[in-house]
Amino acid sequence: VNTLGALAETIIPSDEHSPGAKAAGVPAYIDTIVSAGDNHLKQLYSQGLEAIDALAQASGRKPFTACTPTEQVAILQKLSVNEDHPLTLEDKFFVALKRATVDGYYTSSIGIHQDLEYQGNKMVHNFTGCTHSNHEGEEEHSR
Amino acid sequence: MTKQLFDVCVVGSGPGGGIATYVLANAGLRVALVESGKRLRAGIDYNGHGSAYAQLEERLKAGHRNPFPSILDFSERDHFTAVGDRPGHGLLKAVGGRSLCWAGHSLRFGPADFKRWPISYDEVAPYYSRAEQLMGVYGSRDGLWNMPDGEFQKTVPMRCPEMLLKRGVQRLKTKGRIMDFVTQRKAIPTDKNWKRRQTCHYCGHCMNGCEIDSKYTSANTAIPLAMRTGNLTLFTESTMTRILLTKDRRRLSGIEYVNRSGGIERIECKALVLACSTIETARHLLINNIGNSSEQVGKNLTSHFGLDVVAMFPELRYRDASNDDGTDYFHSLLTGLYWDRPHPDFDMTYQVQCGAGLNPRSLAIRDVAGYSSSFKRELRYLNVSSAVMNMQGSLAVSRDTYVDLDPDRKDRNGLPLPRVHLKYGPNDIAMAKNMVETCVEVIEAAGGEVYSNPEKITSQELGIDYNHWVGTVRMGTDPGNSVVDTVGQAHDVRNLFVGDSSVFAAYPEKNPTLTNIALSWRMSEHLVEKARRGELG
Repeated sequence: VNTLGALAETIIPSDEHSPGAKAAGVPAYIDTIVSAGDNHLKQLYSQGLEAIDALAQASGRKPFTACTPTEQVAILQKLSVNEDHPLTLEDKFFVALKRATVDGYYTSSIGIHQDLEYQGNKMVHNFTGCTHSNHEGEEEHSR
Repeated sequence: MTKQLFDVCVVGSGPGGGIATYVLANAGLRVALVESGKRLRAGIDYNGHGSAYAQLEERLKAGHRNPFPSILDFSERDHFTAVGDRPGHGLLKAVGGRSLCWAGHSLRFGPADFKRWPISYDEVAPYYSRAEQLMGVYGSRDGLWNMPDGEFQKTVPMRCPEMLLKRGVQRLKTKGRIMDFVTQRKAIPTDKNWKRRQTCHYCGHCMNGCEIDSKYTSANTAIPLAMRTGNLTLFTESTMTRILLTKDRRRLSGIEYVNRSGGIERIECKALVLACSTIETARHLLINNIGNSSEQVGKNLTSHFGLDVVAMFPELRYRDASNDDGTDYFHSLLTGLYWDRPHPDFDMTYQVQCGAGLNPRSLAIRDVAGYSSSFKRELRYLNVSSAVMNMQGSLAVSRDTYVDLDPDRKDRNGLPLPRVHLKYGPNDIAMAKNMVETCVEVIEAAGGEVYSNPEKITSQELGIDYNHWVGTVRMGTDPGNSVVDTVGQAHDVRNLFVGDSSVFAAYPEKNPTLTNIALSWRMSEHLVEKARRGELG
């Protein structure tokens, strides 16, 4: 779970704009969906996590959680190269983990309100819509 | 077994069945409404207002993966067998049926659309007006000849990316392209002085069930108004299992149903209105082997199909955060395509529902490459500056798309489940290609970029709208090739009426519900007239 949290946080880190995946509770979310998932999913995650630590050991002789943020980013860089066409176990694990991180983060309070600055889910009397005259078509202006 | 006697028994409480009970009960007929599902309470059984994150864990424990509570959790996803190009079935067993979870899009079919029908636009127009007044429909008066204006309440404006799409359409129009870009028309009241239901407060949860009952449903308007007459008896959690015929099989005498405790009961009636949905009504007629001397029951099945193109406008990347919820996602519509002159490559036409704005329930763009702060930033910018163009075309009627009975699978009452066959043909593929070309043209004329766009178009890329099925019990003047007459009365069994969209004779690109309600209203008035004349026995 620690490695999972570190990976999720590297995908969506805390920065000056908003808190990241850990603060949003993403690791617990992923833990829940994996434990509720089928054996295939569980296997992907356990083998994937092992593979990540193997990568970390190979490059820095320490587990992923002990790597510096720069080292963690370097490992993710390797993993994300084949994001569009995942082939290896590591590729597939990265794609699954990223999807779960995105799902968890952008359904959290932090993701919705602080990061996306979502202004909705409010009761309003009138819907204003677009108020920018420069977005209107030329036809309307010339009238 | 108990027996109860009514003038009319209506089976199914969706948009068509609901309006039938309203018209029949108000005319003084004693009506039974039989519904498989139970009553769902807005804001209690489904509630989109509740923040997603607060309920995430509980819902995961309960086995629902969707982190947002939705009325769609109640749908029966397995109540059919899919054959071919991935058909679906949007069955919702509940009082109000699918009218609980529709987006409210209420577009009149136009004079050109009815040219393919045995009835004309002018015959249906008065029922459109009544339906719109009862339902509370907002829209703008656009003066489009083949999507006539209705009885509209105050319109709801578009968001920034939609306005830019409109700009693109206007530029193409000045170059001679025939198309229009208008605001959506929805069964959601916006006039503050309207009294029938609460006016909309623009929280954007329409499709998943409106928790303040602002959006029209059978359950919040038609059925309660029918109840108020004292002439309606509602049988919930009651599933019709059999249609009872007289000995000569020329008339029906009632139905059998299974009540909530599994007991078999009987309702006797002078007339039966089936409004169980396009797939379920056909299924019941096939199971009972009635009304099918034309052998058209289950045939002529059609729906809307399409795909999405996502537009991105660089000029909107840094726009201020705004509340874009409104009345759910699609506030605008690209329409008026090929009404005047058909496209040389395909028959029928399509429309494009357009929407924009941040919607955390379904972020338009999630598949952004990369990770870290730059990924977060990019995802945010893309979602505020994008618009989704959702294409909706008429699926060509073919021999390969139909409903029949599954020889193997049965429901819990031992009745065969329906099998839905779907196969896309060359007309559909040609139309889909043109859909994508048109959208790309509009986006580029508007100064935007195409963010995502299907690379090649095969049947694999197309998606069917499984809530829009129509046509399995089509109307016509010839009993040899149609199931019901131009009113909705079965040719074979004269006290059987059909009140759902299975009676559609042809399908334009426009959404079905308003026309379903108008036709069911019209059918019900004819039924009342026949009852007055004593023709129901």
